Amino acid sequence: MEDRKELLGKVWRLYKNNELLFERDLKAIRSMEEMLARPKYKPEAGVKPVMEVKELCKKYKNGKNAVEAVKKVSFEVYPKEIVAITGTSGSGKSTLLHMLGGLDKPTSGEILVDGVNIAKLSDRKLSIFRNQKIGFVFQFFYLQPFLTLAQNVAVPAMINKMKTRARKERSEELAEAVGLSERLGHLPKELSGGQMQRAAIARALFNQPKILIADEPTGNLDSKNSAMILDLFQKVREQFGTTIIIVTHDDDIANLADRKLTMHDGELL
Amino acid sequence: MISVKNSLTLALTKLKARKIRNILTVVIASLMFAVLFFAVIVFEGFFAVSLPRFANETLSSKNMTVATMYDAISLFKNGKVSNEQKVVLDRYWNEDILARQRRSKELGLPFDEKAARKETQPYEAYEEDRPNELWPVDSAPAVKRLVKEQVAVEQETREQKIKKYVKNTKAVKVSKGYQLRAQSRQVFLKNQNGEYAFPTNKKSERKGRPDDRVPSVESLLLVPQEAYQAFLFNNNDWKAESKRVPIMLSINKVEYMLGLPKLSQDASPVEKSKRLQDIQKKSKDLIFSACYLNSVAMNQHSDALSYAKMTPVLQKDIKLAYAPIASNNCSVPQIMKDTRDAEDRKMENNSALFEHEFNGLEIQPEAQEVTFQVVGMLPPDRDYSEGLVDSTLRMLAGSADGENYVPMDMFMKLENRLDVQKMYAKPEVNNLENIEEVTDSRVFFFEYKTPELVKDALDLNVCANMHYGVFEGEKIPKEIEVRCKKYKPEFFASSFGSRAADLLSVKETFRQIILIVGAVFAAIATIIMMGTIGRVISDSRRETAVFRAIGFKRFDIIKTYLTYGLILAGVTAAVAFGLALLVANILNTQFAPMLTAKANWIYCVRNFDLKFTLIGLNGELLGMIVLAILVIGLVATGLPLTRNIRRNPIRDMRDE
Ligand SMILES: Nc1ncnc2c1ncn2[C@@H]1O[C@H](COP(=O)(O)OP(=O)(O)OP(=O)(O)O)[C@@H](O)[C@H]1O
Ligand SMILES: [Mg+2]
Repeated sequence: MEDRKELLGKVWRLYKNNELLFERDLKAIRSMEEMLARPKYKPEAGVKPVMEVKELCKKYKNGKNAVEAVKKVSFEVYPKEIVAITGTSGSGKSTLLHMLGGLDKPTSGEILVDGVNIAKLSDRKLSIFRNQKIGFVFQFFYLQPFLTLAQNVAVPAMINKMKTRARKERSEELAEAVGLSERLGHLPKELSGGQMQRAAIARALFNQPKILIADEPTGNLDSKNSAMILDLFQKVREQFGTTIIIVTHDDDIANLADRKLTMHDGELL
Repeated sequence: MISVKNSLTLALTKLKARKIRNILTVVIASLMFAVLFFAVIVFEGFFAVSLPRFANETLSSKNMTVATMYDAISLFKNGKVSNEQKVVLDRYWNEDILARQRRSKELGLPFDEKAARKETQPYEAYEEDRPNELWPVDSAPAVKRLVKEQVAVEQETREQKIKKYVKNTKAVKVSKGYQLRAQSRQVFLKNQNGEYAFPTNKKSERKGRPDDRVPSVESLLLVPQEAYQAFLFNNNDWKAESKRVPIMLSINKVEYMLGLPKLSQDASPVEKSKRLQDIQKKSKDLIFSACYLNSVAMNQHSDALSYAKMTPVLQKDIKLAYAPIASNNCSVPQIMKDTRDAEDRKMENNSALFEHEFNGLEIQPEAQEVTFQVVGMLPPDRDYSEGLVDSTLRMLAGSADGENYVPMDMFMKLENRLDVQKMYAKPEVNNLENIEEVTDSRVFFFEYKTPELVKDALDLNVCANMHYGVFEGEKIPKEIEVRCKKYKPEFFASSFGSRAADLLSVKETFRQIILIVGAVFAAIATIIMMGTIGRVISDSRRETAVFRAIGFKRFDIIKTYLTYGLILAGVTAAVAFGLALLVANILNTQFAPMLTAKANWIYCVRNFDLKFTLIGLNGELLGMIVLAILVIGLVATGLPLTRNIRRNPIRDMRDE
């Protein structure tokens, strides 16, 4: 109930600031409400976690100043879960996420994915790991501006030598999943922000990753599009069985996840 | 690793990313490389395609040198008289003076020892401040005697010397030739009125510069067949029984003899080839005579001229007078008046005898006519007003400038050969069976397989210079100095036929220029490309970071950028080459006909189908430039890439 009140309050604020059209707002509210109303996914008891994080630490050293961005963080993520990580700016969300996705190495601690500690992998193996197991979605969609949507979506296929035909089929399948079937031939600049983010999600899903990692995926979108992305995540989880970890500082978005982890000063609350 | 096709796809996005900048880069770089390509194409067309076409038709295709042997000169080390030689020369000098004194007495002639000594001095100080450095006086009887003895000794080893030189320079063939010079005769040709141009008292005839197209036969170069073959007239009908000396004259002289006006330098190709064809047609009419007068006849003729100018009073005192030689007749002057008594005659005869014995002068007047038939035509003589193109072509065509070729084998078959030889004999030679006795100006034609060997042989001249001190203070390359130590050269060579050695050095110079210009262009192009590529790389840092996140390995990213750099360089190379070819083509249509005409003329070819072209595609050289451009592309990508590839993708994603 509280969530709803907050949501309405937010819409009211936006409305007063003339930032939203009324009709669209209502739709957004309705879909948000609808989504909130959905039952949260609970992994069955005894299911092994897809990712185990144990006492993860990350220290940055800039000359004499040392920043402990992530301090002894431990948690587990179960298959098909949608986990949201929230926290104030600078609390270490992105740092944590990068380590989870094998983009960055922890100072200490372990990240076990399918029983493998990715903290110990070589650069080359990490590349393969990222390509096979992880899908990334970023706040700024970072689509290649001179590739068509179809090509952008299929970029991950470049590394694993997929046949052109299979690649095309997969692109179409994913485009349909993210609702961009009509737009495959377009360049990114011909798409809206929401569409671009959906394309980026399709790209992230291309190699059927186990885990989708998203850093502020809605940070650049309006609430209607944000809702749509969240809706899409749920659909993806249903359709592909993907585990999804989202970093956001937007509590509304976080509330839509199955579970919410909150960070503060590099620690999990 | 990503496939080539994929890296191409991604590389293309880099080209699109900074379209204008990429295009500008290609334009600037390709303009520079177009200059290189153009130079290489035109140079190749000129030197490697066109020149050989003409050269192969003529003597110029032969890699030959013409060399003279150092005999007598080698007697005097560094050209100076040694102390031991001075002793010998002094002895010969004294002996000669004593003989002269004795003979004068016998013949009843007056003798002035001091004057005789001065006249026959065998050496002199080269400079006043170096009185101890003595230089031989070639004409002195003592020196001649010493040289003669030396030549006689060396004669035996001459064949060995040739063998050694052939081995040393890797010559494949050696043929003998002779440089004949009329040393004891004055030669006169008939002018256009059919009269001999003997000296006269008429002032008008002496004025004005003589036409340099008038042939002269004072010197003849007897050449072996391979040297003259290319220049024979197509319809040459010379016969040994004709008693005509076969000769080849330069095209200018042939024109003059046929009464054809001089063609302007810019005469059209049509005019020039028509002229060449005309000459071939009229070549049978090219017969002319020369009158050879010995010094006695010459003296009598000039005496006759002075006598004619004298007043009757003065004429009275002259006891013996001649009539000048009539210009229509090659004969000795006729005696007009002779009032000498027996004593006068005896004195005169004795002094003539003395001059004959000691100074090699003849006693009796002689005049002889020799007929020549032009059997071929040599490239034109140097014309000092000619332009750059003509002089360059001439330099490379390499004709024997100013020489008259006499085909040696034809000459040796000539029925009246001995009579002709006599005209070119040295004063003291009497037995003329052997042509070697006519003159010691033997020349040797050495033939080589490659132009490089010719160049090598010519380089050895430096050894000769070093050894004989002809050019003191000349800088000698180290490797030649080493070679010279092993080998004392006996020949002095000049290039003959092909100017292969010159061509080689032109090519070497060109290569160096291309290298320097190429290096500068490459540096500029690298900097420009690096700027553009660096910009593109930093532009797409975030995309690269995402690609890394997606699982691209470092090498995949490197590959993408290198492909992009290669495409940029490849397009540059293609545009540059296309541009160069276009300009070369325009130039070619503009200038090829003119060059064809000039080359026809200067190479004096008989085949008028030969065409000059300014387009030559040397695959190896062009390929090397293309390769260099591609390497530049890679380097220009590699440098900014190494700066960027180690970047942390996370940081790239973080900074907005
Ligand atoms: N490369 C780095 N060197 C030093 N300090 C860093 C570096 N990267 C991040 N930090 C610091 O680590 C802390 C956590 O940063 P992080 O980006 O993870 O925060 P965040 O929760 O994602 O913040 P935001 O919501 O603003 O994105 C911050 O104090 C940040 O300044
Ligand atoms: Mg962050």
